Amino acid sequence: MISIHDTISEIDAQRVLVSLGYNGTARPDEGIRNQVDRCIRKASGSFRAAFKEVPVAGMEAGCIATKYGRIQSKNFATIARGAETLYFCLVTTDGDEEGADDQCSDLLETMVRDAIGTVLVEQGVERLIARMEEETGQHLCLPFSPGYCDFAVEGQRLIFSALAPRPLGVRFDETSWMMTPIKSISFIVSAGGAVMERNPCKFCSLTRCFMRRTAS
Amino acid sequence: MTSLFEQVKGSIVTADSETLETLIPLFRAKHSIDEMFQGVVYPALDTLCHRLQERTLAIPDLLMGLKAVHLLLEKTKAHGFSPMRDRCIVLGVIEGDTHDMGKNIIRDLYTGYGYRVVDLGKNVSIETFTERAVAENADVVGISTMMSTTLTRVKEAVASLKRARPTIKVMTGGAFLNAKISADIHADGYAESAATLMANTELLFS
Repeated sequence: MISIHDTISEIDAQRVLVSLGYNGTARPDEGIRNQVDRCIRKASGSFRAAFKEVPVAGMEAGCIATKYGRIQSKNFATIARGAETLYFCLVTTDGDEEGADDQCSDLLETMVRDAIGTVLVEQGVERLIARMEEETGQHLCLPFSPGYCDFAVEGQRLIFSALAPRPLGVRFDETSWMMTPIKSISFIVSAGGAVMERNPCKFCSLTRCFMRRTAS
Repeated sequence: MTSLFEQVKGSIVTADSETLETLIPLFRAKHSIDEMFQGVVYPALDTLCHRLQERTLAIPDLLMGLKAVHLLLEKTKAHGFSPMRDRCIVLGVIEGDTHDMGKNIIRDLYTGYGYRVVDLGKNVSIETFTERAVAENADVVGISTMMSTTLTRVKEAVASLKRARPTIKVMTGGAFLNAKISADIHADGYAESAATLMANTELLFS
């Protein structure tokens, strides 16, 4: 397992506002914008990431075999067709932006900090993928996480078994599969030398899924 | 000329605490606590929730409004004197889930409307839900979860609460739930969002 520690120096304020619900006709007033900016300035931007290369042992319809177990997902198997290898990955924050309600009586600030944590870990995933592409010279697909699309949440165990016991200090609940720290994202990506289709959502029929990604 | 009621209500909706502070003594000199709830607090919160539902506001705007309501209740020492004070709501996030942001928003909204709220926090066991709901003589128990994996526990909690007190009303809420799932697990109601919370709650009492 390779682990890295990095910092997002520019947390995307616009994405934080979208995460807070300003994604349509609602417009944040100056007070909300100032609060977001203030909390972003206070955020460390620090995140940690780990990944491990996992060779493809075999492929059948809707399933990829690896030495750690089988990935049951028709959509991921479709996008990984032709891939040379897979990477199992985990990104987590240092927890500064969560659990804030325990220390902070202001629910609005807690919510803003939570949204910043969400955006930070998402930007951390993007940074990790960009860095892996640069360092390996391979093309990677968009991240595919257990519990989303047709990848059962039990896939969490597969990723954790490949990485390490409590990788980066992250653990998950055996019943709910929820990770602690909350602002953690586990995912798999397929990788190959040739330019491949990157977006698994292109093969998914759930056109109204709220997590649907339109990026190519 | 805009009435004092409208001015106070407007300062809550726009979260203008400076204006609100200047209006509070004028308002209290002329009006009772009950008039304040009926004529200002409820209409202001209703307006905020309506705008939330039509998506011209987002949750942070509602929270700013709730802060203004809190300021009004503090300055008028009206906490605990609302017409809703006899209704007790017990809230918590089910065991296995620690996503409590939604539950906290609902807690603050119920508190703003003047309900007596007992917040059990997050990762709450079925036993705790049941024991506290009975001990507090709760009218409504709100169980929140953001995850599909904890649904079995929510279902067990509903059954446990009904066994302990068959007349208790149980409402569920959370990103993954909907009215059908809520009915399937025998909950009495489902709160889709803060915007419809009061309407959903009133249905339980009708």
